[in-house]
Amino acid sequence: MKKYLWYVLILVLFLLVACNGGEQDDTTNAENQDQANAGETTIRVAWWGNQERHDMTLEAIELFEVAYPDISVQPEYTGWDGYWERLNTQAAGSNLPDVIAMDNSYLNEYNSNDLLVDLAPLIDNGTINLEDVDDVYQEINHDGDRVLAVASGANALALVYNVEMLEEHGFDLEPGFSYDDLFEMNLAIKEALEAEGEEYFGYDFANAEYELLNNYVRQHGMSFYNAEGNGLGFEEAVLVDYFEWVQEMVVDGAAPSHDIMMSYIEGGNSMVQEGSSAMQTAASNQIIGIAQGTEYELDLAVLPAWDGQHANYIRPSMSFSITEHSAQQEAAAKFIDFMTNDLEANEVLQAERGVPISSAVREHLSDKVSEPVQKTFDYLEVVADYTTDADPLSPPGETEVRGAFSRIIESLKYDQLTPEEAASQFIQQAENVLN
Amino acid sequence: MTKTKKIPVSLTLASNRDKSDHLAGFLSISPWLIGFILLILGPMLASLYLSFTDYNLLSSPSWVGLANYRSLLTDARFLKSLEVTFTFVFVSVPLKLIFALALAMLFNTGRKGSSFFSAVYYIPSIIGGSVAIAVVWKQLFGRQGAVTQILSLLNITDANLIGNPDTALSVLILLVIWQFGSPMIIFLAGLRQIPIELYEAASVDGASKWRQFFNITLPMLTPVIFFNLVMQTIQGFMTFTQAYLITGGGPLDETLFYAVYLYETAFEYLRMGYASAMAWVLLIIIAVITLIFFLTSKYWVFYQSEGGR
Amino acid sequence: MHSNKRLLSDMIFYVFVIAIGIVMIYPILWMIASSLKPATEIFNNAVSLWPSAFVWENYPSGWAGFGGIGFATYFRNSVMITSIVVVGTLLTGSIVAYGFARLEFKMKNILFACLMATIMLPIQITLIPQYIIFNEIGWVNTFYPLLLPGLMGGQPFFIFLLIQFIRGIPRELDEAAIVDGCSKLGIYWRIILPLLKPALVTVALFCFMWTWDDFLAPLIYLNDASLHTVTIALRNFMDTQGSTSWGPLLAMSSLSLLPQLLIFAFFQKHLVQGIATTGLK
Repeated sequence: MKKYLWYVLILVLFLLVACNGGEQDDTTNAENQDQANAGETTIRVAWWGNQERHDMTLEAIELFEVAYPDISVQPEYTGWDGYWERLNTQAAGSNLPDVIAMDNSYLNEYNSNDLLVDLAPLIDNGTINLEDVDDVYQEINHDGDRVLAVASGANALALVYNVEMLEEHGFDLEPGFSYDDLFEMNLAIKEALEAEGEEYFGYDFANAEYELLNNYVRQHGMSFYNAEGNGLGFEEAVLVDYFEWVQEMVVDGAAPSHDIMMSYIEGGNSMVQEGSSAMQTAASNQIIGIAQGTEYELDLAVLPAWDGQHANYIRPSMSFSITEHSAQQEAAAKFIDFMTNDLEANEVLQAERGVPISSAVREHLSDKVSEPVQKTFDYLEVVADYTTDADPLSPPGETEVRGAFSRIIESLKYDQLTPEEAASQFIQQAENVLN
Repeated sequence: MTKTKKIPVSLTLASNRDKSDHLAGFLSISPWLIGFILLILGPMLASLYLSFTDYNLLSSPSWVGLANYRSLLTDARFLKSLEVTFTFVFVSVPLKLIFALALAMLFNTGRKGSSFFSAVYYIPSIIGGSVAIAVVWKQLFGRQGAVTQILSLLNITDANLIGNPDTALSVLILLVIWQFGSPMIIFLAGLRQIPIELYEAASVDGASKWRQFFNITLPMLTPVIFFNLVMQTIQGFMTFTQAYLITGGGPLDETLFYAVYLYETAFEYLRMGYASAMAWVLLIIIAVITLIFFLTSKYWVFYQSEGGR
Repeated sequence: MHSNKRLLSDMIFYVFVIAIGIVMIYPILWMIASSLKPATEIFNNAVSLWPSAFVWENYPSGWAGFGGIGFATYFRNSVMITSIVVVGTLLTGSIVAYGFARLEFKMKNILFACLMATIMLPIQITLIPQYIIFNEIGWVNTFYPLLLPGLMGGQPFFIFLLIQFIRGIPRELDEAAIVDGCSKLGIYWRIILPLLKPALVTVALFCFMWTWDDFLAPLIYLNDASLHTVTIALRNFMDTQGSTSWGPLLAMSSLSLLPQLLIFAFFQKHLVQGIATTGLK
């Protein structure tokens, strides 16, 4: 008797599983049918972003599906946190989406593991039309002759600054100002404001010391990583110089201490927004977000010159790649082409991913975007005059090198390491990772 | 297995009973057992295998023998993460349990509003892993946060407690203690399970409240205390979300919890082999500590079902 | 005299409990207040719990979600997954716990050790192999990988919790039932389950909370936006690399506490009505 009871119980359990399963199947089937009706090919497209970007991208996808009725897009979007976890897991399961949004720091990681399709043939045969695209925008998406990604927007490292505040204190950031100028300017403003009883922190590094160093070594005619990607590409003395400057900035009060800087970043606001700093490092398109949270008038300036030398470069703010797991590379390429060139779609996208790489799109948008966005357009025109060639792709392991760098710069800013110690420690740790 | 356990003929009766118990036993645990074999055992063994390989998730693993385990020994950040995690567990677990037990006892007195307040006290645990709480907490202890401002009004300190390497870990410990809701609820459930007759009998005998606490409540609660101790310790070692969302392991690695370092290694640096080795070292550490708890439990944990005999 | 003393102790109780209560609830108030603040004020006027102007639009704009799929869908998905997992965990978890606590079978100790070992390995490590398994059987982008654990006894935490509570139930009750002709299943159903009520309520509460809050597994298994849970959707507001949609995020975070609080209020009544009031017979 009791045996039967057990069987019944187990049976009930399995029924439960089955029932839930049935329900589930129905919905997925319905969806599949939907997709089957809409078109013969389905491509999966993944990206990260916030609500604004998701909404705009989904709207652009609708336009794409109208333009290509035989292709339907299955969007897979998420915030930045979680995007790479999901993608890496999918890579491990050989289940990557057809098109993925690509960040510069992961490009070579994915490339060196043979996960990305070479887009060169698709560009050559015109499926992805890059005729209106200046080479400078695509420079770092190349690996030799292979094209690994197409930029979905471009930006350049910049200083975001408070226009009125600088004017008020009689400073400007015309190209040519030096690292020392930056130091003195901030000390002067600080002195003036603190005399009035106001808080002023100085130059906000905004956690971009790594990117600044990248620019700094380029100004010395070197590169962060060597061409082979198995070591660093600059001299220790240059790094010591840079570390000395950073430490001086913080210790002498021309820049905020590390914990203050981080508390703003983690808190989600910025000193420039609240007026306790006149300038910060940022990727040019970040001005859009910063402007949203403040009443101040902001603008963009190039990075400081070293010995009169500028070495900015324009880079993709993010890109689209096609993965090796994709069975519909043709359709995926059409999607990338559409996002790059279609005027209507780009009107929807509002250059939120960065300055559009197609000159036709830029022209079309010039009077249709908000003021901060327009400033990013203008800035890229300006910065183009102060650029040098882009570096080769950063090697796999860059994320880890960057991690080591941020730990060391932290100690440096807390004055726990001398610039010399910090430099030799960083070089040792970086070489360890890269070898 | 079956062979070695052959039962002598003279014990037929008992063996029959045994047999039905085996069947019933296996049937009853079968939902878990099936799941374990199909979905958990495989991945566990796979991770054990991966711990002996160099595996970056994106291409196939390659065998490296004990290399991962060997480099753990010289990995300064790994040792740092051990130190941080042990400090965290040893400080936060006892405090959290004492707090949870004290409040559970308080709410068990049946005063008006007890259930309302226990709900309020449980709220922090509900939002434990949510992204919003990370923001809130950063705001509280950040440079302009309420806590920081109160402390600076009292002239104690005006530092940003989360950004300061000396205090960041304490802030996280505070956060975890603040979320004492889960063990509190379990204690409450445990208190409810104590037969009221025991107290009635003790009152008749004229035992004081304190005597009742030490002679009835505490012993009757030991299975639940044991459970909370074991689980909170395990969860303490695995603490991830709070540190990851709020400090990300910094400043200066002062809150580099084991699980945070492991996650960073696996998903940011894509060194899954190394991370798997870390995971198995963690498993062994936790297993040893748990085993110690279980071995000592027979001296202090009192089960109605077994002790009643 | 006696009542004076009682009054004093009541006073102390309430002062103490309210004081701590404020600390407990402040962050939630902050969150709700911030969800009503204008975007420029969320962080620049962070200490204040009172918005300078009430901005309600964070709620509708958050609720709208992303590109037509809104929080109605996310809440439905979360509720569905969570309730199936909770019910499954209560049923299967209590049976499994009963087996471990009361029945004798071979290799029990080894199997129990296995049970405990599964919670000692960080989920991040087993996630990838598990993903590969589910991918092979084509269950990625369905709810199955999230539901299954609930039908297999639930998390070991719950099984162990129930085991501890069952071990607290006197065996004399079982033996009396056996004399009355009760089968093992009968004991489970008639003796153990009713006495386990406070523990089951606890399990239901935690199971609901944890399943609701779960992030990593839904993130990895649910690609399609129409399958997203509330937790995933909340993260979709966050681009920590670019800019985060804070207003809608805080608004929806506040809202996502609601089901949990309701569940707590509901279950708590049952928690109070445990054995203490009915007494053990």
